Amino acid sequence: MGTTRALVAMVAGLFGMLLAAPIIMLRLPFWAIAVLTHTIARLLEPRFVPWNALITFDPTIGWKPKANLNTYGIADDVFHLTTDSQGWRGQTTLAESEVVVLGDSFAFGYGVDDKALFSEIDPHVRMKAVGAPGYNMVQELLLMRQLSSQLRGKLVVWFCYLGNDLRDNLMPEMKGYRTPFVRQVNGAGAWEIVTSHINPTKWSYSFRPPSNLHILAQLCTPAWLSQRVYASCEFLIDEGNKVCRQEGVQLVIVTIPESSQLCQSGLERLASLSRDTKRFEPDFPDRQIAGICRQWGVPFVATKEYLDIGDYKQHDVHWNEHGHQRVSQLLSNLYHNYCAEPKKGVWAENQNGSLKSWEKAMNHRCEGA
Amino acid sequence: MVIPPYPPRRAWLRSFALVMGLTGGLLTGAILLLRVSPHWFASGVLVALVLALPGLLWPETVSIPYRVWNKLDREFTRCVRLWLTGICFYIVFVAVGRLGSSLRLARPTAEGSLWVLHRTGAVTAYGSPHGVITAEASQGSWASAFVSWAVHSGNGWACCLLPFMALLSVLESEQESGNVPANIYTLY
Repeated sequence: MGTTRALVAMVAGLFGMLLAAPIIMLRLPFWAIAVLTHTIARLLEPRFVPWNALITFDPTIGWKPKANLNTYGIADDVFHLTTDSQGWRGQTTLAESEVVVLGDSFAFGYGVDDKALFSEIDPHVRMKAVGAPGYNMVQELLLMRQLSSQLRGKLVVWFCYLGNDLRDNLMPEMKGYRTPFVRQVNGAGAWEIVTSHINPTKWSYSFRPPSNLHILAQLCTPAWLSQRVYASCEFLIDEGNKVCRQEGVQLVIVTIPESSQLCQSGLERLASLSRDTKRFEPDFPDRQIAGICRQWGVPFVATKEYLDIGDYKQHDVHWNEHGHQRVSQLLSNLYHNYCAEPKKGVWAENQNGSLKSWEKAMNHRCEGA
Repeated sequence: MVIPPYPPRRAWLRSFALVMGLTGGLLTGAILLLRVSPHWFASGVLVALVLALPGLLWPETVSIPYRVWNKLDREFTRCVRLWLTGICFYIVFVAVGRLGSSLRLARPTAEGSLWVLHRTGAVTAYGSPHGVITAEASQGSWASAFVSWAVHSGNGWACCLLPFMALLSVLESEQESGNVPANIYTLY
């Protein structure tokens, strides 16, 4: 029985292979093109490393970019990056800089070559980008404290990426990497920074958090999660402002929108992810942070009013080269308003008026100049 | 099977332009060689240059042809897979099925049971859908594990499916991303 079955199967198999042969032959050109394209692409493309190969353990902050890197990273395409002896990107040293930008991968300039980085574009304003992929605002605050003595006399711009920074402030890890975070002190409304769990070992637990877009959708609605997130944000901005005031430094908070906040289809998708679509407001995060900044007397800029969807990469969350140019221009404007020509009215307008009126005032001043 | 990744990076677009240019040049040269005159073969170089240069200099110009080719490739691969599985199901299985089945599909007698005794599988065999312990299973080659299962379980005829399975595995629709895995922890 077994032998008969095997013989029948063999005959049927051979017949089947005969039937398959023509279509396999037709597939061969596709295969040849694919293999050749693959082989040549590998030769044309420099060797690159993922974001987590760019970082090294730091006992306080969790991680920092490796010092003296000269390598290629990968976002939607391969990009060239170098870091200085401290691990930060850009040619200008921290001591030489006039503007210091603290932030996450946006401040790090993830996805663009060194020459296209926002800090390298304007030759008249020396900017230093101090950031690393995956940072939350707690890490940036700790970094600000570490560098506080070197910030004197500079404009400090603090990037806050709405896509994940706000939520990450409350999380003890990011993709298995232990991060400092903030928590409320039991029985009191006060917040504290937790770093006791920071060590080089992987944080392993099985919780799979919702996507950044899901979280952002909830943060665009007044609810328990958003209240908690903005309360932690208030604590962090207050702490950052204290550090800067002690050093006599001007702090500016700059929020960076998630690209879906910049187009109608993205907003519709975001609204659809919200648990309370009736109370969904796309500007809610910016308004909350603007309110916090107003409370602590910190200037605030929402880049949502300054950037559009064309400033973001199509297949990655970061800015493209055009986006970096716009951000560079924005930072130059901020520098000229706060440092080059101090106390010239813009700040008062920001405190009393809306963000837009402040932006318009600033642009008008720049155009006039 | 390597299907070029989408969205493509600049290097992939350049490479695609180069390959298409060379292919187009060679084909044109060959056709002219056979149909017109051997002297015309060199004109294939011109065709290759015209096809490849724009993509090499401005990779974005070939993004649409790349996308079309990628989609064609994906669709064609899907059809081939469908065709191969169809052959297995409607020719090989039907032919073998004519000879009867070793599975007891009829209702048992009043005293009988449809429970089948299985031995405990080796730890390495837990990922395997069949309950036969095979030494080869742990060594990574699915083909040898399959053959081992077929022989040990008295289903030697199933070895005739191996060429089809090999083709299906080669035509795996998953495209090559070319990216380094992002879930590797690096701070140890």
